[in-house]
Amino acid sequence: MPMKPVESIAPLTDGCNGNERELRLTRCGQIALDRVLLYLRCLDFPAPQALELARRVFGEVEGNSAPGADPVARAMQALRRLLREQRPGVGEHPGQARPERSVPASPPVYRSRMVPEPLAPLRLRSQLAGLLNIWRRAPNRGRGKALG
Amino acid sequence: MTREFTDMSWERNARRRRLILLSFVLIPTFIACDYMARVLPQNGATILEFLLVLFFGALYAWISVGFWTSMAGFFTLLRRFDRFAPSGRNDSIPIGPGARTAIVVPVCNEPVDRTFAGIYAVYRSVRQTERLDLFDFFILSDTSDPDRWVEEEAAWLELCRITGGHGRIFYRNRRANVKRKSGNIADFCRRWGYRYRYMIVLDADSVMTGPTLLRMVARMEGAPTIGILQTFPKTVNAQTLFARLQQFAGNLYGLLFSVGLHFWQLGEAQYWGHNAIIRVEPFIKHCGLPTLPGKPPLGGEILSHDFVEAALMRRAGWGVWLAYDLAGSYEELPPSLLDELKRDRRWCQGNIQHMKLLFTKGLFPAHRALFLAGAMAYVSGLLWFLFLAMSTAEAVSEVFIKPQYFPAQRVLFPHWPVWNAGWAIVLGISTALLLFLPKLLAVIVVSVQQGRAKEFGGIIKLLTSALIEVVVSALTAPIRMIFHSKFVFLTLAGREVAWNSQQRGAQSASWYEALRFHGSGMALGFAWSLIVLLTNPSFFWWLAPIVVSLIMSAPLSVFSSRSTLGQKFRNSGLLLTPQETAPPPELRWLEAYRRQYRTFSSLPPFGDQKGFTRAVVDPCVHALHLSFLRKERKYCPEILDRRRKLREKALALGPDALRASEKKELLCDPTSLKALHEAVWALSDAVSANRWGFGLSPSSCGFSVAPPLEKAA
Repeated sequence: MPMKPVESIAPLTDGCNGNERELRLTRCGQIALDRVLLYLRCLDFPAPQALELARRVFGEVEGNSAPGADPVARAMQALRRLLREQRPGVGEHPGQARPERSVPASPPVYRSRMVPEPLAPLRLRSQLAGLLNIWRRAPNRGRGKALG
Repeated sequence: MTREFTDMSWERNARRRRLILLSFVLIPTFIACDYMARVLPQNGATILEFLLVLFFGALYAWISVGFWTSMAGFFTLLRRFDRFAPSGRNDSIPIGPGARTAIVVPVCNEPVDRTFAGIYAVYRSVRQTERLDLFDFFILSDTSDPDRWVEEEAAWLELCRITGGHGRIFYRNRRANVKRKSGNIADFCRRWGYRYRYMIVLDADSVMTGPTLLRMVARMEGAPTIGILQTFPKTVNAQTLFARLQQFAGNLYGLLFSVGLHFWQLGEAQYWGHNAIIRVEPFIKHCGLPTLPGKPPLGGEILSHDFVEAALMRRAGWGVWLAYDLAGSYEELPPSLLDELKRDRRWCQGNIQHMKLLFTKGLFPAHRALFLAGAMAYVSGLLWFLFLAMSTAEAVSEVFIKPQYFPAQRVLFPHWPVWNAGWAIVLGISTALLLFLPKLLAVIVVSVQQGRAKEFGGIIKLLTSALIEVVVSALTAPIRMIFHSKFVFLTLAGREVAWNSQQRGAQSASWYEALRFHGSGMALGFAWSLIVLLTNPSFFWWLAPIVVSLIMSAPLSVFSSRSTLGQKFRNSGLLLTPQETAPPPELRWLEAYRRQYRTFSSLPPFGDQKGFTRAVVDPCVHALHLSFLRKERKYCPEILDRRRKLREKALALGPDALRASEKKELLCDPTSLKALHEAVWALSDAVSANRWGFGLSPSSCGFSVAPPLEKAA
């Protein structure tokens, strides 16, 4: 895609001579343009739309150039504003523009309790006593059964 | 506590069978102990010899349990009839829409590509059964690594996109990993458990086929007293020689052993924590795990939760069954001996911790026995080591201590201390029979079943592979003995171990790592050999298999961890398994997805960046991550100031300058993350921007969509 330097976003060129100014203008504009296009590519914008949006971004930046401001930051700020205008209702972040973002990652919570089970130790003495009682009672039980 | 079901029809048979097992184990053990005492010079009269006989008895009983389990399996398979088989009539029961089932995959810092490839394979297999409506998938992440956390989120979205699984495949990350895996599952139960009648738990390395999942649900529907139904997973996807040996052994001997286990256990089986279906309601009601009194390693959180959950489920009256006859259940293995030993260190601690629960009120004797068996799996190593050390002490003392031919009391004949080598050989043969006969029987079972030997590469290859497996397992057994002794000792001494995720994939062990781990064992082997050779050379030959293995442990560990060697065996048709000769489609889909995921996840412009960088820079990943976070909250000025400084540090020095905890703090705070995102995109300084992955020009930053996987697979 053709990339041309954006001339008016170069407050960094103050005090430079002709050639140097030209060079820095080109570099700053290039970085800002690259960044804007990269962002749009990450959002899966088709190339024509991306270029159109980039053109609008740089139009805005040209119109509101303030001395001392970073061109890349200003371009990105303008891009985010334009994206919010273009796609209203997708939340405050442009990355939410993809449709699948609206699908929840988990179903509605149906909260309940899961209480830890008590793990009380066996009382060996009572167990032993129980066992002895069973043995003591066993003959009576057996006789009763036989008689019954 | 009240039991929901009592006096089940199989309980009397189970008691009778276990009584038989007990007598089969104890009677030969007493006879063997008597033989052992007679082998010794003083017939077990000294303390040292008495201890020798005691340890020998414990070890003999332990291997007898394994032997009789395999024998029970062998005869059940020979009869071709099992009246308590959990299969059969229930498999064809129609499943109503109410049998909603959650497939839960708890993960913690696992390889993202393998985890999601496994879920993809299961999802696709279920979809083919046309009963996808019954199942929901939950990836329950406990991942603490910030990069992996973001990668998991991106992988979840990608999986949903490829399968069309939005609203059916869910992902959640837990900030506080309370009670590890059991806490993770409990958290699922609390949030969404009552939406489902069943849950099927899978590990990060598990795969199950759709038809198997449906049959499990059908069996649960048909048997309303079953609380947990555990499958016997086959080991697959091994690459290294070590893992291939384990995989071959698991596939060959596993069936015999699992059928035998089922024979003794019936409805009081164990739960292995994965590849099992659980009835959710009783699980929530009865299987919540408390924290044990006392400090770790023996107190605190219950580490090996699965055995305890099975015991609690049974305590409440529900059956826990092992469905040995269900195919289509797979898992993977640690790639090397070192990785297996690292895993054993954790399991050892978990199993020994169960000793605290041995006398818990209300548990069934079968589950107490399982706790004991779990601990014995590692304590037996220590007992074996002590037995060998005492045998050596006895042999060495024989040289230095003069025997008393004429004791103090008057006797007619002098007392000649004699080693009865003939009886020792008889004992040795009987022990070898207990150890190796089950393996031979497994080979016979496979050989006589129509076409099964072919699945292992044919009868000649099968026999050769079995022989190799026997030799290598005999070589590695003493190495395991030393490590298990160490683990038991450290656990009892109160040393805790970090419960990290298991190493998966085929990474070979380095010489440095092998020498670091095996160095002490090798030195012990050298010293042991030297002492015996210098004092009692004739005893050395009895000890040679042990000490030679110890001396060779590092090379054995390194060479067996090489996947090239494993591949050579595979190419020559050795150590083959049925899943390799005829791979099920699920395993092929898994591999295809894994390949495609790797390609996709490295796509420019930011695909090749680490997770944290992607969450900051890539607008889509950033927005996705924000959608997982809670709403923005108000914080105190100290926290805000700390986070501002973190952002400044990240901007100035790049993402690699941040520690994992710092990255996580920023990832958890939506305000900080948004601010960082905007600041990073506004970086005009080339050096700083490059640190965040802005090195590419837009012409090369194709963020294209991958081709449909169904076609690729």
